[in-house]
Amino acid sequence: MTATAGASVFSGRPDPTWPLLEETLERLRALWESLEPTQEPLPMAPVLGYRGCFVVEEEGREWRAFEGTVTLTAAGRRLSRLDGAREFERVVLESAPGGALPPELIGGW
Amino acid sequence: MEAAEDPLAGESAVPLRTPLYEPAWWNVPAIQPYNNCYNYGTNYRTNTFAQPGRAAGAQYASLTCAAVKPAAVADALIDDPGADNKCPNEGHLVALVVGPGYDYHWFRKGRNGYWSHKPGGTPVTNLDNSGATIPDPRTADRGPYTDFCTFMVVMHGHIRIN
Repeated sequence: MTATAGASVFSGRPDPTWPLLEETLERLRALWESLEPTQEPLPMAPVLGYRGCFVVEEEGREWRAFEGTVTLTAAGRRLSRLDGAREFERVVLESAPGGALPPELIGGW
Repeated sequence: MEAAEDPLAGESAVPLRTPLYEPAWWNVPAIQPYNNCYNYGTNYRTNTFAQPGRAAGAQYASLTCAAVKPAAVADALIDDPGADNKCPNEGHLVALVVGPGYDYHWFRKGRNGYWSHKPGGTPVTNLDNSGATIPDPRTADRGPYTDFCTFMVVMHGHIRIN
């Protein structure tokens, strides 16, 4: 089973993506299960700059995380959960290979 | 406040060759993810996430104004640093901005006198990072794109991007 992680961060350059290790994917799944569901509106991302990170599984399941909310889209359904500590987002971004992300994004974590 | 200024002030007319603001044409699944700010700015859909200079074999080597501007010139965009937010008689006006070492971004001036842009694979918008319309990209809230490089002119049919 494979998954691709990435960050929505650039405009001119393609956004960085990288393969996700199975153990990291398992950690993210466990994190997701620990989060509380929410019906709150999703946080508004800025037009330019960092807009969140994502994980796409080969089977089509897709997570997006930004500013304390994680959203899972699968089989046409979308669920959101609160992640006040932004742990999901941190794990995804820290899985990026060196040089893939702007230093200020990593340093600001 | 900047957004209250008349973006057409001082111009007798905006040439009809200046592109329309038509986000619905770009914001569809077959187009939106595959075209970036350079595609939108030049009004040239390639579905390749076009990069300045790539079509000419002269792609930028660093993320600075000094590197990205000549790459765009290699694609036949015309540097017009003195444009001062005024539409050219021929072609349309674009603006290059850079976050040094981070990324570059393009805006384009529309027929209504305001500017719009397409941040990467996200939808076309006419708003800046503060949610304001854009009468002048030099004064817009551009987030990390702190360096305003220059205005440039896109001559329709002259440029080649990929």
